[in-house]
Amino acid sequence: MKPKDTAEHFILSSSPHTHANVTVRRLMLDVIIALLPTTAMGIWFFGWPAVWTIATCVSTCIVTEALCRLAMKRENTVGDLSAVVTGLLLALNLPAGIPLWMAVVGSVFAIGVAKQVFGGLGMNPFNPALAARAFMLISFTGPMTTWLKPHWWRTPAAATTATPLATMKTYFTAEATACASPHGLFNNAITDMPASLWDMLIGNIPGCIGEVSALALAIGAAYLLFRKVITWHIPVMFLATVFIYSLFAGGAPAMTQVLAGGVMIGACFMATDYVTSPTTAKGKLVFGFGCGLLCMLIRQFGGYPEGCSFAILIMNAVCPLINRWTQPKPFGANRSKGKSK
Amino acid sequence: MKRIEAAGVCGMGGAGFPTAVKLNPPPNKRCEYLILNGAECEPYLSADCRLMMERADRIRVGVEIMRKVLGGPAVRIAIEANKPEAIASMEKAFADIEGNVEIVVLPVLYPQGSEKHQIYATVGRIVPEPPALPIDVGCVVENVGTVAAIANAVERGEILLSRVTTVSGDAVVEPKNIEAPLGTKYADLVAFCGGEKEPPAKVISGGTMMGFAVSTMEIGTTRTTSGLLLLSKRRVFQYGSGPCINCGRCVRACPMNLNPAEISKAVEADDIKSAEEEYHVMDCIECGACSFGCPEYRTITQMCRRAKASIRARMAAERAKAAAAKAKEDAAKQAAAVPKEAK
Repeated sequence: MKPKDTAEHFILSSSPHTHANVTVRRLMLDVIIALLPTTAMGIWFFGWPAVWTIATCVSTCIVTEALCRLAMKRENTVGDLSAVVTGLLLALNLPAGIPLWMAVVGSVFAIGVAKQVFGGLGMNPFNPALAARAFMLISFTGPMTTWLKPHWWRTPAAATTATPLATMKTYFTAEATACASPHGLFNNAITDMPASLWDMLIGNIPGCIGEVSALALAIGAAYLLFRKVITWHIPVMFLATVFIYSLFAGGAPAMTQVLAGGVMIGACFMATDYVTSPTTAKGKLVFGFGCGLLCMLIRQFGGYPEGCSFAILIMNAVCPLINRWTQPKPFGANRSKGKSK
Repeated sequence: MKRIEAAGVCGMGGAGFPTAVKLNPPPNKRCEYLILNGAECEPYLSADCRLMMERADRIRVGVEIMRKVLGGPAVRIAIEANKPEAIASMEKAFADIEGNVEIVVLPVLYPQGSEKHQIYATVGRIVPEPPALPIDVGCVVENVGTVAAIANAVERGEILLSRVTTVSGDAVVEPKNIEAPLGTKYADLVAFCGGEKEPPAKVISGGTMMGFAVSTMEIGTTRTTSGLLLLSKRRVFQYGSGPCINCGRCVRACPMNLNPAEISKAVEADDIKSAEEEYHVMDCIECGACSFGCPEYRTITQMCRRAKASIRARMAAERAKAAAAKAKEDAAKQAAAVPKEAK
């Protein structure tokens, strides 16, 4: 074979010349897949209103993302599916019966204000879905805290109710006066539990569309861990902190604190958002602990029954600081400390 | 020793460190472990594996020579678990050797062949950051190819004139390991392997993770050409410059425990100073693991390289400046001294 002069045909680039083939699109798709069980459970318990809320949020997020990118004259990033994830997460964090125009406003806020204003994916300091939820909670307090009962259509007379968390909130105060009641994993002093553990596990309780079924959320989280989309650090630390705090703080039993409200979806899907959580393992542990602690402090002392979203948002804000404090030590660096410095 | 130096034996894993220097540790440092690097962790490459299978006797002779030179250290032969034939071959070759010689089977991990990581994996010692060398923790690491070259140099007086190169990639008709004289043209190596299946889009000298792309096949092999890869259009992709989404995959992947995400962001902001001082970019071994797993296809390794280059340039400039200042000072001193003498 005679040597060819193909000089100008070879592509030149710096190494590495290969790639693991992981894309943002694939990661986001995994998150969507992981959210399917809880989405299905939400629809099962809350019916058509849940479907409409989810559809509205997802489609509004996609449209807003496209319009924002167009307005900024940037590449359209709808294809990376991050807007779909934001829309889905927001919907799962809304009560099923919310007026749809409010869901639209929330979705526009999530993508437009909380994400694209900062430059899009990777630049936002706060989790867009959570920022929108907080915005909506403050703007539309009434509808945002009106909960449909699971299978509400069976009891048309009283379709809405309080969440277990709201009921549990009263235990803290009740206990402060009654005091000296034994607290622990299963608190026997409280006999009028708002829901059985089983109902809380499968999601047969009032609440946001996607937060009620702890079991479905756990399955989704297990999938994400298996696919190595997330690591165990944040969810485990978050849940452990909530559990241990409530063991010692009294109030509702620890197990119900973990299963009720947004802790499961928060720990597994919200706090683990890449952009707004630390990158180092140590940082993730600190982050998870902070989320759990703040969440319980708000639940016990704050004005709202639920503190999960605010806890995560506050930790989002300190995330850059945590990143700075928890820089990893280079391999081999600890040894030379004595010698070189 | 002289023969090794005269034969031009150097590290054949890739870095090309002169072997004679490694085998001549400072008198106050003792070599306790001689580690033979047969990990060959780069995808595609298998030259070392074949060498261990076919030239086991050479490697054994080389090891015996090196033990003599280094004062009888224990020997560890590190091979990744995915090369059972090489392990068997080495076990056979070293079955009756005296002294502390062991074959260590390492998990298949990238970059297992990196000197620092190999030492940690085989004997559990950690080499401090530069300027510390493996000898500071009593270790000398040599690539198996180098060891065979030592045997040839000392026993037969052969100069290092050839090496085993892996010719592979999906654009090659028949991938092979070839022992070819140094300076063999890449085009000839490919012709020996049956030529090109299709026109390659990219030609890489070395492995896919750390090798470098070349612009022509009209150049020859060197002592460190471990591989020659011809990749078709389908295997070639472009790294991009999307925003970092903070996923932390590179942080988990980095074998040096650095924070590639922060380094790359600092370099993008032209903040070489914090890349150096806060994120220790100079410890980077450029293994490519960060870019490999980046879902945004960011050019992380490439940016580390850029930071290192600019830091080195700055250091060189500082040295040159200091040297110039010193020369000026000396000249001034001399000038001052001359009139005195004249008086």
